[in-house]
Amino acid sequence: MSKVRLAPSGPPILNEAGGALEFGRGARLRLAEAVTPMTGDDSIPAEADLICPDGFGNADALTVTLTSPKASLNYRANLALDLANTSDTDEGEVVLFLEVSIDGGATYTTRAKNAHLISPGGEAITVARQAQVWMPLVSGAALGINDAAPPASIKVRARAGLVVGVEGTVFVNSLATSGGGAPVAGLNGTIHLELEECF
Amino acid sequence: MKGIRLSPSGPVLANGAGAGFNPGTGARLRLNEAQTTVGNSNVIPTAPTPIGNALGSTFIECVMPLPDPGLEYRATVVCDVENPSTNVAGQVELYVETSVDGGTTWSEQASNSHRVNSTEVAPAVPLARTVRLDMPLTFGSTLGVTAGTTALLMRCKIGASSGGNVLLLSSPVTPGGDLKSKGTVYFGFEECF
Repeated sequence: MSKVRLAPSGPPILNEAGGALEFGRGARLRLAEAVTPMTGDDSIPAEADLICPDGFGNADALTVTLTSPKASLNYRANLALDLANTSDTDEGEVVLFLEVSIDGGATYTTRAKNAHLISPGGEAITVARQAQVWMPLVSGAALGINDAAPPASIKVRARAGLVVGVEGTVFVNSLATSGGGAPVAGLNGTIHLELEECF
Repeated sequence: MKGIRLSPSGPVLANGAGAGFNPGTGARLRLNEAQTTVGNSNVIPTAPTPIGNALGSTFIECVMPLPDPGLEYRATVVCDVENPSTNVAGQVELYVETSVDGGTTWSEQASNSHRVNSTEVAPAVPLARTVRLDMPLTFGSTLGVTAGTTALLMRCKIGASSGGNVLLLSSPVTPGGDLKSKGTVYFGFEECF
């Protein structure tokens, strides 16, 4: 395990008796996270597109960032959100992607993806469910980080694509104001994106 | 920052030069969590009500003694909800609330909304799904924590803006006769740098 330092150039951290400080693999060092509702066009496109607070197809993708990542540390990420299918008859299948960038956001690489079925409800019933995708512990080196030329940051963003179903009927459901007979405003949304740095 | 010890009686951690140990933002210092089944009164009302072993009775709370205004706190609530009707479209809201005065007053910190559909067949086939709410990293000072705060409490409310008094919180005690069920209701409350 790498020595733990207060800063890249700082001295190794020890306990007061002088022994090396060691955590187990997966102990979290840092966390960055974000939650957001999705306004605008929340219809999931057939071609996977970026999840943004103001809908798909925009430049302001929801992104979480950790500065000064290390090759020898591990990183994990998770996206959770609600999906909704408004079709009476057509089944939907949504693929979620987690993408990582170590060059400040110029290029992203897909590091995890999975698929989620969402059934139609019939007779104008909207079916909704939660979906998640995880990027389990991956070493910084495996993500392309080289301590000899350390990147300034590691960034994670997410995409969603509708691989089965009818565009315009399957949505991300992350409301700022609920529906229903007694609407609730000021909601934080169901979209939650997090990135951890771990030993 | 307070000295960090490997155990309550352990030595204060320091770096090699003797300076204080300072992990990055989001490193977890403490975790408090709870799970529960929900018994008889599991009908979700329109008006948000705290989640406990039953709705509308003694509620579950996670307690973080001696919080620090300079540290950050995050919470996650997960549970299953169920729509047993054949014709009522449901929508439930989850709320995370915190208290810095021992539970006398509560402040809403996060909320979100989830659709819970019904089936259009009779007899009714209950449909259930998982719902989740996250309160992301928030400074203790933002939550009202001061140097004199003795505890930071967290609880969760649930209400149905549509389908109220029809939808159910599904956290059964004995699914399939299994008496060891912990329920689907899960609260996680973290203190982080």
